[in-house]
Amino acid sequence: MFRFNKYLYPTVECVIKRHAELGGEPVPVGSILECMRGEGYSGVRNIYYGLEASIQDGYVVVEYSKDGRGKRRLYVPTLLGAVDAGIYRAVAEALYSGESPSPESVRAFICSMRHPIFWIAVGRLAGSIASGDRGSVPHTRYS
Amino acid sequence: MKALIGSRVVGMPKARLAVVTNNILNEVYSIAASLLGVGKYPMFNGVGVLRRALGALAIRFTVYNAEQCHQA
Repeated sequence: MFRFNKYLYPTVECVIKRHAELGGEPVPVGSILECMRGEGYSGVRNIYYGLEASIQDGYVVVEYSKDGRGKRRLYVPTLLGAVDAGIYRAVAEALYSGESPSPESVRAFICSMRHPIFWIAVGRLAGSIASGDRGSVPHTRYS
Repeated sequence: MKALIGSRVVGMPKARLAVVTNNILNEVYSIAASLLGVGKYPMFNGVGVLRRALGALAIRFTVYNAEQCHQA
């Protein structure tokens, strides 16, 4: 079951941003709260609500810290989260002037737009290979 | 590409993977924004009614097309 609230995708974006800034380390909740406040979202409870929805939707996974400070929950973004957050941001900006669409519309837009985006990405990849630029990620293995 | 079909990247250093994930977000946003590119056409700028109408039309169209996606 898809769970959506207006904090969901901004939370995913914050997790992705902080994850990159931390050099790939899992993100503590304090860092996400700080990022969300920087984006203009307030209310710890609301932000947690977005975080829990992102975990349930498979956009963020939970890891537990192994240091001596007990089992702290840390957060790592998934690639699916990056794709859907990108689509959501574009839809919200282009068609809703930055406001939050309804859950049904979000689900429909994301589901429909993945397909054309995939083929445009294939075209861009083919173009970059043809021009001799394979990007900056050599020897990457996928499963 | 693998992100779009839901595969997991294996064998990449986690620092590099974090940067790639961030780049995927920006790249997908760029492609999606160009697909939806309402703002690029000056005739829609500042025309709120037209913009909303286009948005509503797009929503109806995507909801109609998404039924198969939901079933999948």
